[in-house]
Amino acid sequence: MSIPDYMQCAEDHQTLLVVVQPVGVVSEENFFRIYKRISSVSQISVRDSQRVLCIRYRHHYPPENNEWGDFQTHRKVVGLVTITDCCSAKDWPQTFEKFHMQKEIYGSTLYDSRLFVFGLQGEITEQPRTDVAFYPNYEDCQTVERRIEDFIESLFIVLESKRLDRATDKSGDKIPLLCVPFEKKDFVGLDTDSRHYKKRCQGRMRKHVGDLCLQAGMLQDSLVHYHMSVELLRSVNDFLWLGAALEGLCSASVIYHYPGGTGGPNGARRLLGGSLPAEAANRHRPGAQEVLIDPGALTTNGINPDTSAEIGRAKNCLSPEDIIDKYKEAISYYSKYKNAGVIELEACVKAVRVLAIQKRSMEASEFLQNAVYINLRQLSEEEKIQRYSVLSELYELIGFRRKSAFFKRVAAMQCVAPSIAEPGWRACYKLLLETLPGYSLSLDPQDFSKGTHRGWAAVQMRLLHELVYASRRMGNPALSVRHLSFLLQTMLDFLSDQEKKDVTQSLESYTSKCPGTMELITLPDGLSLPPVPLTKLPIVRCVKLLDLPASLRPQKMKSLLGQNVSTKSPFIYSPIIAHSRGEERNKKIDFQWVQGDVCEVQLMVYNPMPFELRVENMGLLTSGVEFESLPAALSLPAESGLYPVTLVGVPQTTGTITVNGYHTTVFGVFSDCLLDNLPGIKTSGSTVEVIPALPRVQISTSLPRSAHSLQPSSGDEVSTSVSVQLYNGETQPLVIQLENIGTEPLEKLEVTSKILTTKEKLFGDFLSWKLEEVLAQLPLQPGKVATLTVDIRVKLDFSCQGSLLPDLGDDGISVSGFPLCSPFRQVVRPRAESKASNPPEGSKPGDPSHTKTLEAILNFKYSGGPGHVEGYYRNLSLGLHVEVEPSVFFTRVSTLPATSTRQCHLLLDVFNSTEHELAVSAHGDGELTLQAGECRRMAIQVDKFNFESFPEPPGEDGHFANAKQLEEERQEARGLEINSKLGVRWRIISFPRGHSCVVLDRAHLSLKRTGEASVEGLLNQLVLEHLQLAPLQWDVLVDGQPCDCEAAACRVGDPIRLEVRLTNRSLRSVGPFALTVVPFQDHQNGTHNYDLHRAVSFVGSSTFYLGAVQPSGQSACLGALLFLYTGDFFLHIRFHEDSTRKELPPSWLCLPSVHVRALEGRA
Amino acid sequence: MRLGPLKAVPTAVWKINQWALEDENVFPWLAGTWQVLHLKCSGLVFLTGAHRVESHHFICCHPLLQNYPLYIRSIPTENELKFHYMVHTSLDVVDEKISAMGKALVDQRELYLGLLYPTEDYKVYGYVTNSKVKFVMVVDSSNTALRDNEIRSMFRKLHNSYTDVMCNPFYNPGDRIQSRAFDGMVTSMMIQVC
Repeated sequence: MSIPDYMQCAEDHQTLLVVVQPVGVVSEENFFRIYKRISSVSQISVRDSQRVLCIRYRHHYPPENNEWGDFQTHRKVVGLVTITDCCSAKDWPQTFEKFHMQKEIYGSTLYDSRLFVFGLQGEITEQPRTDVAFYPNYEDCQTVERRIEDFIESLFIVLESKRLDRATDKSGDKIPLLCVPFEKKDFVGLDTDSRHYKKRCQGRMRKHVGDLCLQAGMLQDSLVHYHMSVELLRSVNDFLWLGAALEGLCSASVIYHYPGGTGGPNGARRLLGGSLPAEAANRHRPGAQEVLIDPGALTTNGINPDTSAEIGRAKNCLSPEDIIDKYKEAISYYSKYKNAGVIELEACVKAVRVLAIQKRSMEASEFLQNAVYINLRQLSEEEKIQRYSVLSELYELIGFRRKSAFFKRVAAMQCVAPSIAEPGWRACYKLLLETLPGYSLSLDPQDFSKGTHRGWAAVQMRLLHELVYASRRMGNPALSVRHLSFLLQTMLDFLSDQEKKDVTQSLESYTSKCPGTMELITLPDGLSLPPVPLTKLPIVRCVKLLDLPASLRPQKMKSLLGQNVSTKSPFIYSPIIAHSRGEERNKKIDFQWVQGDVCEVQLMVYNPMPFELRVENMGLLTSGVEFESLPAALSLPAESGLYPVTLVGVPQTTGTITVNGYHTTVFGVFSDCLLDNLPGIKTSGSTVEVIPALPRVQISTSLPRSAHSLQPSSGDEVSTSVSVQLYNGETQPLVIQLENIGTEPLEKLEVTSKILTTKEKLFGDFLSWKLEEVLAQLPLQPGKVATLTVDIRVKLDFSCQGSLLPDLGDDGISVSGFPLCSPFRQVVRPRAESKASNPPEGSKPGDPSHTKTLEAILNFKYSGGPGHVEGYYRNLSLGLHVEVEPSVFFTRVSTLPATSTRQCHLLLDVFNSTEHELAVSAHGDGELTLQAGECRRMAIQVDKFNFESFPEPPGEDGHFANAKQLEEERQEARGLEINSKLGVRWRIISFPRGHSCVVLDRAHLSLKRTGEASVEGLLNQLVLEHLQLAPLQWDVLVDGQPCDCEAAACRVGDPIRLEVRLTNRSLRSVGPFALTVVPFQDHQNGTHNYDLHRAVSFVGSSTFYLGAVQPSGQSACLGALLFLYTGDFFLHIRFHEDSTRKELPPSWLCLPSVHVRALEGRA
Repeated sequence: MRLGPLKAVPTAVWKINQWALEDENVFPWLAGTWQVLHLKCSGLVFLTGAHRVESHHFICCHPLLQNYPLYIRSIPTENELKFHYMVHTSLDVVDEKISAMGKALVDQRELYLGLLYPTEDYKVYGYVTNSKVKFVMVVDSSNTALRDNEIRSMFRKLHNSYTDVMCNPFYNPGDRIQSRAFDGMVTSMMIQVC
């Protein structure tokens, strides 16, 4: 006997072995259909008794095992059922012949046999035969079970007769010696008459009878027989049979103790099949429990048939502990015989099953350990696989899952042993999969994503490698890719650098044939392999959704925002709402993305591999909004630090978008990595609102781009900035082209400017534009360009800062109200040498040549398309950087009174601080040419200004501003007025010779450069007062003619009328005044002759009195003069010193001097 | 880099750690397995492994103890996987023995588990602390000089050394042991057995 039946269990001892076999050509399907029906009849209650017969069916049984039938009767084939196909009657004899041949194989042990013929019809079927049954086909055979039951009953009859026959052997009869096949030759020539031999025969026979009793359902009887057999055999040291007797004892006890069976699910099914009532009946058989052995009743010379005599002694059923002891003993006896290896192995297996029921794992493991060491003859590969699988199952049974996994793995390896011609990779793979729980390994990467690694990495890794290899050899590359990616993903921390390289290399080679996917792989046996995203290649540490760049950022119109708030709640503020909203948007980011615009997400990634990692097709996974992801490919250096990667995409619809994760292709494996499953990731929210599309505007200007970055102020981010260099006072147009590069029409545009705070004082409008010309071009369709011209006008202070005031102070002549003798003094004397020679580059305090910088931001708010409907707009900022170079400076300003009180001369010391020759003009005439660095004086005759007539600055400003501010504003307004009257302009007329030829272009350009020069900043109070038209207007009329600058003519001897008229334009009443007319003669040599009593005579008083003049009132006083000689006379009208004079500024009391030419009187 | 156990561990801290190791009821999260393999092949081979359990696994799902090695050492280093398998499967026996002991009083429990199972070439011994940290030692079965008492004392030494490791405030319970002092102790034990 060489082929062990690993499925054996203790209950099998009570079964009858029936072999069911096909004869001739029977399809497997049909055979097993019938076999199943037959084997359903596994237990039969015998009609006339309460005993139960158990049948064990086999469709294959090695005949050599049959030879051990005497040793243990359950190994004996007692019944044969043959199934055959027979279509025609003429085949029948042949078929029947085959049946007989089949019977021959097990012939020696068969009790009975049956032949089931299918398909045959006709008279043959009519013949009444007990051993043959005919069925027309495989469907129409309802009586099969019935037939089998009859068959089993017939078996029982034979069994029962045998049992009785053996049990009732007369003691005098010679008992035959039962022996196992390998013993036969040992007993040749032995003395058959010795007591020893007889006892041996008796013992073996008792054991045999015990077996038969057990099979016949007489459990208690069998126990008795076994006990007696044990005694007999022990005394003759017949170890093999002693072992068998002990094992029989154990089996019977097990059957008694564990009616549910020990054979696992099979046994359980048997229990349901009706063994329980049978066993219960067994147990309740009257007196059966009290069947006890009386060793004394055992006779040495025979077997006492009456077992009842032995009742009353020790209880013959073994206790659960004893069962194990007896098993141990039996196995130790078996182990003495090399040829009984199979018996020993099977006994071990049976014992283990019993121990598993008893939950005594430690002892069971010892039995199994022993079973492992039982050396059978050279096993075939299949047998080895079977053996290891069974060992694995048994270990599983006793809860040693690791050991079980170990043996299962060994079995798997055996399937593909090099000695096997056709390795069973499929089987190997299947077995390997079964080992997974033993190594605490699940194939779901989710289980490994959190916390520390679970299980023994070294062995897990090995198993995964084996799975990969097996699946590859199986010809399923998708599986091997899946396993390999799993290995890489979960075992990354345990792989050495070399292993990492090897694994990735093989992964790449596999994926070249079959790319790794994110689909669930379902194996034929139902196991499903979840997808393995390679979240560690690369490791992502941080995910951050980026706002759009400032120029594309959508902004909500304020009014609409207000509406929104008001619709949400009638209250302005409610803490409850704020709270709930806070929770709801804890993951929502408070900026928006725009439909159709490229949006960015920044990831911080890390490459844990010791080599460069190529990540392809890396893109975003989103939900909520249709999103076109634009995948990126990146290459991360070996063991890189954190590396920023920006993934981009375009939302195609509006709504709320959630970034769920990203997808990658690494080593040919597609991975969808969800953020929720990533451990240790930092994210600042992943949900963002996408608003409807807005137009996009690109700006281009006529000026070069600037490298300067403006100082950020109040959160304005400037996308582009341009720079320009201008001379102070120059104006340059900036042409801005707005191109709609989006897909939506631009419907609305607003332009605002903002000058960044600067220390410099700026006069006039820095930037000015006409929006209408752009608005006329709206709506701007995509691809179209609109143009806007912005004038840049730089007018900084032209004064020379600190050096101005002292200069003015010492020039006393200009401030005195005293008239100068030459009224048309058109110039301009050169400046004192000391000043002129001062080079402009010099380091004077407040360095006039210093270049100043002006910065401004032009904001374009635009909107259009569906975004505009929703109330969003975009803000595009253009930074403007202007470098202002000084052009001219007014180093000094002063006034000279003109001949008329309505006019005065403004003297400006103009300094050319450029490198070029300049022409300065006022009102477009009187050009003054200045060399570089030259300073000259320029006199401009101006009408005095009546500042009072200017409208006051807007009233509301005046209310808030304090007096000083008010005064400043007023002064500014005056400056503006004066400046516009003056219209001082400069023009560059040449370049220094050295430069002109080299930089021709620039020279040409520069030649046209002109600008204005503003005096606003340098007019101080003093000068202003001089320029101001006095509120008291004095008019002196000589002979009724206003006498201003022209000399009035009169005749000698004729009295001429002199009238002094005062018009009060001031807001208060003035006067009274006393005026004295003092005539004098100018000798043009510096002496004034006041002694004219004899030349000029007054008619009346020379002193006039003017009463108080109310505001806007007028008053006049009259007098007359009589010139006695011809000549040029001047009249100086002087005020009398009195208190009122002090209160009024001197310029108010400035009276013109009167020039009278007395001519020869008419004869 | 791991520091060795600090020599100047304050007594109180040391005590707490001692406790933690000795009484799983106080610090159940320290429960775990730890293995030491010791074997002798043509001279001497010593292999040490350690196991630990994640705390919540220990508490919630007892049958699914996730043992993993804290420390493994073997001589010779080739064919180390064989020892991995051997120790891994021996855990079944350790589990079985622990569950069998479960009813015994915690204080009186014998930490030494004895011979786990013999194989043809090796003997596998086990030791388990009260906090369920397991030590396993694999010894060449031809080395008859090692008797039960020697094995027992070696385990005790290992246990003491492990306690020192745990006292190191820079050691995270559950991490692989990378202590030089522990390494040195294991090495000296292996040489001694040789």
